[in-house]
Parts: sequence; C-alpha cells; structure tokens
Amino acid sequence: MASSVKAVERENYVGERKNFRALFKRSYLAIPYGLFLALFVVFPLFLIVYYAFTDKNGGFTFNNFVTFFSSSTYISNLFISIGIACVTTAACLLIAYPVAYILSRFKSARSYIFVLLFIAPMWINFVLRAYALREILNLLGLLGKANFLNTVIGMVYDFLPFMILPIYTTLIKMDKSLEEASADLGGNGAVTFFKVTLPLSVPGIISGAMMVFLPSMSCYVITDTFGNSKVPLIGKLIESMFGTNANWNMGSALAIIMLLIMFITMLLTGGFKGEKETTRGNAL
Amino acid sequence: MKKIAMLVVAAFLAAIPLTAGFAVENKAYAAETPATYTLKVANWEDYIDESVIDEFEEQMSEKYNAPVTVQYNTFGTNENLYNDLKIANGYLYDVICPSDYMIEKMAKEGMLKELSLTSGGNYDLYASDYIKGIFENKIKWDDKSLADYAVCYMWGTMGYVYNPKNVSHEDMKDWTSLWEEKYKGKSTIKDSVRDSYFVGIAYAKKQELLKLKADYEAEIITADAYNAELTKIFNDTSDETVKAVEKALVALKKNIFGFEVDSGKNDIASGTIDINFAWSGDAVYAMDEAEAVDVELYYSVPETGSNIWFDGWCIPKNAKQTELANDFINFMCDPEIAVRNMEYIGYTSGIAGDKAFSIDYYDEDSGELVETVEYSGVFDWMVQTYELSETAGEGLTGVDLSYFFGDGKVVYTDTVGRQFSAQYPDTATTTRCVVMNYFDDEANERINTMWENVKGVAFPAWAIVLIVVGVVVIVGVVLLIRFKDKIFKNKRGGKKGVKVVGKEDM
Repeated sequence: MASSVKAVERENYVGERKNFRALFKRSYLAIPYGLFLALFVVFPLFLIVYYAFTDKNGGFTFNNFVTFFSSSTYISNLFISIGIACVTTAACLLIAYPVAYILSRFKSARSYIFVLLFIAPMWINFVLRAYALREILNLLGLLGKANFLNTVIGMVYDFLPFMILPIYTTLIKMDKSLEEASADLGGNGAVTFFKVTLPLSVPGIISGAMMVFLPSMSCYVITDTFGNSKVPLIGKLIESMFGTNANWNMGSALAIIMLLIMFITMLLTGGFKGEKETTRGNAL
Repeated sequence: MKKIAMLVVAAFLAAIPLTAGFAVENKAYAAETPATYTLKVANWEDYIDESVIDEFEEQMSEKYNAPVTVQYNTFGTNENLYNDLKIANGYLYDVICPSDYMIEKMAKEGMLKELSLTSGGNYDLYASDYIKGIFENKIKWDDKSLADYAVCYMWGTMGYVYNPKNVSHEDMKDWTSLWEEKYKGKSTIKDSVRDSYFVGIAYAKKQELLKLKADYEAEIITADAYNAELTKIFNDTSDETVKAVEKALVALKKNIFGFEVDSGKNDIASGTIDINFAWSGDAVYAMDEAEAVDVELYYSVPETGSNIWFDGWCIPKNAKQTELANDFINFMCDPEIAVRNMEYIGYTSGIAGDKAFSIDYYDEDSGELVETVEYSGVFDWMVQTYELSETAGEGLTGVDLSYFFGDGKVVYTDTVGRQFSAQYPDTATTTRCVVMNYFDDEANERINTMWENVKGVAFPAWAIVLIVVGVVVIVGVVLLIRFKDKIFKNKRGGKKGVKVVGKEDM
C-alpha cells in the first residue's frame, strides 16, 4: 500500500516536473525577440501593405502599382538601381574574393591583424569616410563628371567588408584535407581551386552578395554624395514619396516592390534553403 | 581584490555627476517638482544661436518663479516637420518654425493655433513694416492671412553665389547663364523641386519676364503691378508650363555639376564649383567661409525676378504651453536676440527696430573677451557690422533700405554684391522678388512628377522590354540550373550523402 502511494506520489512529482517543463520550454526565451519582431517588423510591414493598397482617402486600390508599372521613369529607375547593385556586387566580389583567400591562408597568429586592417574602416563613421572619399574623387577630377562610376566606387568602398567577411569565414572553416586530397589525386593548384575551394565557398559568396546587393539598391546617401544626386536610385524615390511628395501610398507600394525583388533574389540564390548545405557556410 | 573593485566602482559613481555636470541634477530635480515648465521647440538645423535659449530659460524661470526648460528639436525639411506633426496627431511641439507655404498648408488643415499677439509686444514694436505687410496682405487665403498664424523669424531671397574669377558678373544677372556650355559642370541647383522650379520658370518664360522688366523700367506698370505679374508667372503650375519647365530642367541637368541641398555652400567655398544656386543666408555663410581662404565670392539676384521666402514661428493646435510659447516668440523678436541669431546663422531677421543693446565679442580660439560693442538697434548694428556710411561719398553706392527700416534709411557702401547685399537686398531687388504660393494637391502632383522625370532617366519602351526579357531569361536559366535534379529526376549517387549530412545537422 505504502509503496503504491509512494509510486503515485512519485508519478505526480514526475508529472509536475513534466508540467513545469512543459510550462517553461527553452523556446520561451525567444519571447522578447518575438515581441520585438511583432512590434518593429511585422506590424510596420502590415502598415506598409495597408498603405500600398489604399489611396489617399483610405479606399482599396491597385492604382499605386498600376502607376508604377505604367511609368517608364519608375521602371527605368528600378532598372538603374538593380544595375548599380549588380555592378557593385560583381566589383565587390572581384576584389573581396582574392583578399579573403589570401587572408585565409595566413598563419593563424598574424591573420587577425590583417583581417582587422580590412574591417577597421567599418568602425569609422561613414559620413566622415564618405566626405574623405568625395575629396579624393574631386582631386582625381572624377567628381561631377563620372557620376555612375563614382557611385559604384562609393558603394564598393562602403560595402566591401560585408563581402570579405562571409567569404573569409567560409574559407577558414573549410576542411583543408579536401584540398590535400585533390592534390594527392593529381589536381594542380588551378584544378584544386576551381573544383574544390571555389564550389565549397559558394555559400560564403552568396551570403556576401546578399549583404551587398540588397542595401546597394537603396543606399541613396551614396548617390547623393558621390553622384551629386544625378544618379536615380529607388531608395531616393521612396524617400521623396514620404518627404516632399507626401504620397505614403506610392512610397509603400515602391517598398513592397523592392521587398518582392529581394524575396525573388533570396529565392534564386537559395537564401531560404536553411537546413541544407547553405547554412554551413553562412558566416553571418 | 574586491576592495579595489569597490573603490573603482565608487570612483566611477562619483565621477558621473562631475562629468555630466549639474544640469543633470537640476533636470532630475525639475522633473520631480510639479510646477515646472517645459517648452518644446522645433526649428531648422543650424538656425539659432543656442545661447539665446539659455537666456530665455533664465528669464522665464524668473518670470514664472519656477524652472523653465526648453526642449530644442530640429528638422531638415518642412515636409518632415509636417509628417512628424501628422503622425503624432496630438501634442508634440509648442513652437515650430516652418516656411511660408507650409504655414499656409498647416493652417488650412487646422494644424495651427491662431496667434494672439499683444500690442506693445516685441513683434508689434520692432518688426519691419515691410515684413508685417507681407504677412498681412501678400499671403492670404479665405479670410485669413499668414499674420494670423505666424510671426516672421528669418527671411531671404534666392540667387546665385559665384566666383568672379571664373564667372562674369554680367552673366550672373541672368538665370539662363546656367544653361551655357562655358559653365558646364561648374554649377549646382537645389535638390528640391520648389526651389529649382523657379530656375526652370526663369528659363522657360524668359521672354515674358524680360518684357515685363522693360515695361516696369519704362514705367508703363507700377512696382506693385510688376510684382503681382511676376508672382503670377513664377507660380504658374499649368500643364503647359510644367512641361516647359521639365524640358528646361532636363537640359540643365546635363550642364550642371549636380543637385544639392547643403553641400553646395562648402563646394563653392572650396572651389569645386563656381556657381551655386543658394538661399541668401547660405550665401553669406559661403562668402564668409571663402574669405577665410582668401577667395572673394559674390551673390546676385538675377534681374528677371526671384523668390523671397519667410520662416515663421507658429504654435501647433495641440501645443500645451501656449503662454510660454507666446513668451518665446516675443523673446525671439527682441532686437538684441534677433541680432545675435543673425550673427550666428547669416540669415536676415524680420526685426528692424531700435532698442539699445550691447554684444560681447569673444576671440574664437582663446575664448577671451575682445570687445563689447554698443548698438542702438538693428539698423545701427547693420551699419557698424558692414562698415556702411550714412552719408554719400566718392566711390560709394547708395543702397535704399527704406522699405525695410523706414523712411530715409539709405546707406552707402563700397562693396556691392557681397554679404551685406545678400543679407539686406535693396528696394530694386525686393520689387522683383515674389513669394512662392502653396500649391494644391493637383498642382503638387504635377510638379512632383515633373521633378521625378527630371531627376530620373526614362528608358525607351523597347529598352524596357529588352531588359525584362533579358532578366526573365537569366532567371529562367538560374532556376533551371538550381532545380534541374528535380525537373529531370536525375538520380545521382552523391545526393544520398548530402541528405545524411543534413540529418546529422539537425
């Protein structure tokens, strides 16, 4: 009898423990973040969607999108933004990959100093850096003449560290024995690089490209500073919709269109394939 | 070890009030006592000598016998201020300082309180009759005028700041010089449609403007009629005019260095550009900056007409400290305070009256008192600051400022076209300067679309189709490569291995 009571108590106890555990799951730790997400990401997103599909009087309409797709200025503006983003990403990749590759080959103790040399500029106030670069471009005689080039130079200068870091992390995490195996099997330096190193660093390249491509489509501070506001950027258009034009509905529609483009880009580059091979290299 | 840590913490805590100063303590104290006043002010960036705010706080603390603090905020554009007030939809500021057209817009939308200025107040006593006249008679709608809602803080004109070494004085009397090949890549206009629209009109309607000018000079029309006609032309937002302006500005875009809103004053001072379409106050700033590096810049208001603008203190509908706000406005209209602000920012105050005061000047580097100068009023300050003469003399040009300071106020100067001319335009200049009206939504949309077309680039239809097709092809190829395994059901040996790795990761 006594033992069975004990057993029942024990069961209850275990049950309570289980209840307790059920009540305080580890995932509850995510509540603050969830609240933050709801308040500052999901709620504003709903507002943007609401504004994008309404007119100034609050009535439902598709007009904002119709206006966008029937205006050659808006569409051209979008294309130019995408073009600038593509060129910037390509230029960043061309510069960043060799840098990351060289950095990853340094002997461990010293490598941090070199990485630091590349990352340190990120810690200096961007406005200050921008003005310094603007003066340099002025000295070179480019300012006011090659606005598109200046814009790309400014973008590359600003976003380069975002490309170097993920590639660098992928490269140092890579299993060196794979390269050794390639060499053992008779692959020379080039073969090893193109067949082993480069494919394995693709996740780093993708995550770096995302971090450069998406912001450089809308970073109009750079076109204002280096392109003398002569290079149209979709981000600037959105800003003017919320500023001088006082057309929040159109501004929101533009934001939604940009959101869709980012979504498509993520889809194409495999940014959503979380649990598969991509995560292994995603440094940031 | 612990003791050392404690000491460090103690030292750190002790240092906080020292570094933060006593202001923190005072504020904390102020927040606890119920009878304190906080005035929330919103003004343009770099648009006040902040020491006058401290003085206001001191004076008011005495008057109200309770601590008075000013919470000073700044905004970058009229539209930002408007948006902030709209979003707040309740109490946000007690005093704001928007421009003429925005005051009208806000007043029409019921966002402002009507001012109740007492006679005998500083504005009543010291404001220029010219300014009062414009506020009462020039900017009107329904049965209201600007004067019902606002008190002028600063005003000014728009024109060209230029470097006479590379630009002829004669060319700068004409807006359309900016289109000339010889100034290619050497000028900037404003990255704001309301300001640059003026330049576009001046180009598109050049013949009309020249004819009006000739009529006025031949005394066929009076000064008032001239100004009224100019106002009509510069505020024309008809479809046809907007199209002509667009054409003019698209052509201008190719010839200018760029669009700017605040980098221009530094670029002209440093020599990056030679012509800067600027507000008069920024012109004064640029001329001062350039002088420091021995460059003489000039300011010109082209002869076919220009823009005159006003920024005014207003009280929003939802203001809480109306009485204190009125005190603030009154305080800002004191001639001494007006002069101190003018010295600091370079713009022109609407205050013109006589009231004796003195200003202490300190050495910029050492901070030592250099001299104390007595002034009998704003006019006297202007005469002393710009070393003007009140009697005619050889080599001196007479400048008629009677419109602003009152009858008989004519001064003589040996330098025309520089800081003094920018800050106090003569009668001839103000006659051809017009206020830019508030545009209704429809006109605004037309102008904004025009501006988007100017700022942007419109590809021809075939190019757009080509790009779209190109992008679709590229996307298609990428998708094909990505999902070719799924599409062609191609089973390869390697796949299994990847899946196992995936499971291990989970």
